[in-house]
Amino acid sequence: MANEERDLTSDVLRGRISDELFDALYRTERVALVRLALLVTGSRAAAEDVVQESFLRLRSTSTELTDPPRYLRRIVLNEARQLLRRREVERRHLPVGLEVVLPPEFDEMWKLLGELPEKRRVALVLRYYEDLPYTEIARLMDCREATARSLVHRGLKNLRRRLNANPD
Amino acid sequence: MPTLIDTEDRLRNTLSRVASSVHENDGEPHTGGTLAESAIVPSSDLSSRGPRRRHPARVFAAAFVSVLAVGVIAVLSTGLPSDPTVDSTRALVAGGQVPSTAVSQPVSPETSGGGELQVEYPALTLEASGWSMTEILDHESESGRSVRVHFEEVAEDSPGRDLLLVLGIDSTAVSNHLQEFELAMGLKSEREVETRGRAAVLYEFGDETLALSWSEGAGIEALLVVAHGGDAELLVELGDALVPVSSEVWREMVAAFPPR
Repeated sequence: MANEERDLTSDVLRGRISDELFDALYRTERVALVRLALLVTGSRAAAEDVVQESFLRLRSTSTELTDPPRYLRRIVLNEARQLLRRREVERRHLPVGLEVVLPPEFDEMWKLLGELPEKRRVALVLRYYEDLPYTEIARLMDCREATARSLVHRGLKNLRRRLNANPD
Repeated sequence: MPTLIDTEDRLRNTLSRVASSVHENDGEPHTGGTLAESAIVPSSDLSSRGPRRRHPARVFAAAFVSVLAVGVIAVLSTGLPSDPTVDSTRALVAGGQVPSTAVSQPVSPETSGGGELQVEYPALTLEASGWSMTEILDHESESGRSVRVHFEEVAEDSPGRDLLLVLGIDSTAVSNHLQEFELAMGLKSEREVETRGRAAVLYEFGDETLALSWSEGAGIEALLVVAHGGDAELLVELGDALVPVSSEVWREMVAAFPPR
């Protein structure tokens, strides 16, 4: 192995992420992933944990990867969604405020977003923060494109309705 | 009153604003060594998460099917009117997306003491639903007919569509076991509706809806719906609940309870 000519891609394709690639991914992707996880989970601490866990999983994967950043993003989304699902039942009975404090003009929307069902929230984040096309949202959420459209549409409708209910 | 476009703009702004609260170098656990090493420091929270829990909707569905199955056997064996024919067995699955031809082996009224009926769902449905109907156990007794259905999850995180299970049982039995189930699970229905002799109870878990409906009288059908996700082509909005309309029975329900 020592004499073998190595590059990042070949390391990945052998199912083992090299330290160099791992470091590079960590430097370039981490902040963006924490932001994404924050928008999905509503918690900075949870977002950090989710990203940490995702890098751990990437490190231990034996899957052949052709696009590590995309794979990483998918792991982050899955981890964040699982965390959100675990909280869902508790949240229904004991609403927990989102941790990020925003000016009033943003705060209401952030609060309403936190009250949406997990799938709609994730779909909205992918659509309106990540600016992803529906095909990619569907791929990341493991659903059909029509479902992704439906989730975004319903989520937006929910927000609008709730904003109407609280016109302040 | 904001339009959808206003709402989109506000949402974009809010998401962008929240995301920008995370800055470069914020909270990096880098304390020397390679990033690869530092990133592997386990967080106490992560280590305390414990085993992964099943989604409540699936726990609900699995428990409900179990309770219902036991209840059906118990109640029906005490003498409910029955029509132990192959037709009624076909009706058992005809309400969903399963064509009657899916019944690979008819149950004859002569089968006594139990018989096993294998029902094969179309592969697509199996794959999409994340659930597998592995067997329907259908046996005759002197006093009535019982039906037992067993489900298994195909994959915990598989994307879901709809699973429809139509059971030919008595409405009183449904009602009784519904209460029993709610008690056992500590749940209360989100919404209960009843009109024209048809009733439904909807449970919502986030974006997933479980709905149970039944009709009074001779119809004796109960419909258990496990809806995973939202499918614009198959779902209609009944209040805030997402319900599939892939079943004729359910279409009747929707007609009886138009969206609010």
